[in-house]
Amino acid sequence: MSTAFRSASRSRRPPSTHRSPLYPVPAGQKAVRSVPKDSKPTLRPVPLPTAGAKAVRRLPAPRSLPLWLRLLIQAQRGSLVIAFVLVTATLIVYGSTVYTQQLWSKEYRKLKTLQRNEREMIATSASLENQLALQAERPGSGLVPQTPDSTIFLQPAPQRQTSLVSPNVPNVEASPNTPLGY
Amino acid sequence: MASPPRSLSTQRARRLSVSHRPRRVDRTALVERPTFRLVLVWAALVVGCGLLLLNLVRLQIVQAKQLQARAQEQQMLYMRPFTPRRQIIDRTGTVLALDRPVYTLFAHPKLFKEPKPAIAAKLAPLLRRSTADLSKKLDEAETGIRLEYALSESTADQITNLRTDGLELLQSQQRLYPQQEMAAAVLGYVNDDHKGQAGLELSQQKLLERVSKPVQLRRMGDGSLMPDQVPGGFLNLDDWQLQLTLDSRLQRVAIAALQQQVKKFSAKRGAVIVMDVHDGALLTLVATPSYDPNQYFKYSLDRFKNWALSDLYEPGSTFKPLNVAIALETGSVKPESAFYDEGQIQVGGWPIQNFDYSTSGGRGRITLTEILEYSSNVGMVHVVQQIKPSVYYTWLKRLGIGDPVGIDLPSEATGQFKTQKTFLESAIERATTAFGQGFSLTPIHLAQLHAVLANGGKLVTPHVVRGLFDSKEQPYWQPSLPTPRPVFSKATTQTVLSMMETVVSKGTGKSAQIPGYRIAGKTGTAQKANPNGGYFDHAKITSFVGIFPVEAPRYVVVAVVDEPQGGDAFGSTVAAPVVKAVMEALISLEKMPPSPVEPSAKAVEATGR
Repeated sequence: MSTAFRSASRSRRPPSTHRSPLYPVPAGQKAVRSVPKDSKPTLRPVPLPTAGAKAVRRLPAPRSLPLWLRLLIQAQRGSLVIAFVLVTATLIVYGSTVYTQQLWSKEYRKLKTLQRNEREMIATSASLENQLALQAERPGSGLVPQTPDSTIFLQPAPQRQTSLVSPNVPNVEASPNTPLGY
Repeated sequence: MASPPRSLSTQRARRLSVSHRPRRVDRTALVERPTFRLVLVWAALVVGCGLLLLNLVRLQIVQAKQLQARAQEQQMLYMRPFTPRRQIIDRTGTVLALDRPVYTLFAHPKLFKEPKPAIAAKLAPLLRRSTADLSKKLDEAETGIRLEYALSESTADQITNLRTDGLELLQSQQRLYPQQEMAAAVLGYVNDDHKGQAGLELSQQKLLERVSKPVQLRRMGDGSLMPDQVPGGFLNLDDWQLQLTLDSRLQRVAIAALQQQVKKFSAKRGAVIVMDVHDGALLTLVATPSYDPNQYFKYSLDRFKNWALSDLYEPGSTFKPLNVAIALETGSVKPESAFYDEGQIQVGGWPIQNFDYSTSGGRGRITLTEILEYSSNVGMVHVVQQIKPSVYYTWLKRLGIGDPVGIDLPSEATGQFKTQKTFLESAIERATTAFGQGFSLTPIHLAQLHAVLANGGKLVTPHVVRGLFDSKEQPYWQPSLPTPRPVFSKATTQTVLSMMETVVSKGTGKSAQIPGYRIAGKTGTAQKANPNGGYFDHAKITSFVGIFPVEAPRYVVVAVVDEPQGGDAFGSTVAAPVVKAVMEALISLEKMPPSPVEPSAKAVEATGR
């Protein structure tokens, strides 16, 4: 069945470039019929649209194509598919390289900005720290250095029983991450 | 059958157009001939191809080099990524030194597309200079006028955004010391070429410097960079920082306390050292007068040395505890031994007297503890006379007198000490050494020696570098310090320490007392040696060494004030208050609880008051 279809389509190709535009194909006919109708007249110098029925009758002798030709055709089809896939893949790869380069460039600029912000922030905070320290040292700033006199030392509470250690563990882990004020 | 396909209708139209032609055929038959048209088209194509070929030859062969160079210029970008010198941080993470990019602005009036005044008017607000001033500057030369140094990144951006031809910004690096004078004596500074010239910047150059090769990158039409030629690891800049053992908070307290005393006594200079006795880590290293490393060019050269390391002085009485330790360790004296203090004696024809001989006279029979308590010179001479001279000399050498301490800062001076021959032959040399004169060492060496008494007898190496740490505080590199060398036995050091405790509790060091804490200390007031021989009459150098807490010593604090003026300028009045202020701050910073009260200590304190 496949052979018949192939032969039909193959024979249809040459006329399609030359002459088929000149001949209106009757609409409403069965699609399968119309194919031999079109293809057969190409063999004759003066084709008539009405002589379609005769052409159909001649067709029944299906010429089986030689094996090499079939293989060649199959190879052609296969390579067509491969070519299509390859072209698509190439386009995708090419597009992605351009895109990733642009992306890299964009991200690099972002990195530069972030690094610069980091630098500026470190410098500013350190300078601010120095300014505050200098201000605090000035008389009349209202700040006094911390001395042992102004410090309360508490005796550490006696060690609790060791049995409480295991339930305490999750608490210890959770406490630094949980904002207790909320 | 309904409507004809489109292809059919076009065919018809073509036919129609052909049917109109015959009129023209008559006039130009030659042109109408198909072969002629064919030849004409062919010729046009050939000529066109030929011209294209010629152009190709011109572009690819004739002008190839210039065009390639131009393309290169447009597309290639030699980028030197900003690789900062490593940051220096203190033990708490306070940034002491960091790098930032700065820009130098050049103007090339030759390339200006606008009149000079217009450009001057644009630049004036950005550079914070007057338009007239800038116009004048722009008239100076046709090209290469340096308008401004050290522009910040944001100002440089604003200038770039002016999009004015003839302005050029060159990036360079600037070292910023946000804490200004605070740690200048330790940090040092870098010069214009970004090379360290003093302090850590000089001695730790290798750790601080990062090298970067210029990278060749391709640029796209919109100026964005193409990463295909970026070498691996281009972005992977390590985040190591050089961490110091210094504590900037303590450093500030020390500076304030020291400056107050230096001002009060019109002294020439001062130094404070706080050292962890167990590993030799320096928490504070202050030397005044200091300088602002951001503007090092404004100061005279002698400010750049850290005199606590680079200048020698005769330690005076602060050395006495070490002599006592040597005497005890060699078994020459016993802790309870007593000596007769005449107040004034003659050794080898030279008179030696106590500093308070004119007021107190001779003290008579006093114990070893009391010798330290009263800082008796004569008593010390008697103690040292008990030690065999050659043994004494060997012991002083073991303490490293005359050797460098090996600190990780540059320009450390080596102490001066007599040769063995002179020392053994001359009794007066040994006698003066007994109370810390006749030889010299650096303040940092004195701190190291007192740390030996505090840590149970080991000689540790003073250092300020803690190591290279990444941003997650994981160490990458840490200095390998020599293993502490044992010098004295623990029993000896404990005995000497308890003697030194009485110096603070009831002797000359009372001004360093902090209620609730057991502090050992020793005052020192030494005559300054004249470089031409002998001593200056009025120049003296006062010092105080504090060790605390006595029950488990952790820190040694040394304060030295050079040439304080006034009659009451002694180690106890000038240097001891500085040490006290520093120790008070240290107690707060380190959250050190008061010393557990012992019955004996309580009694001592009661009698002391």
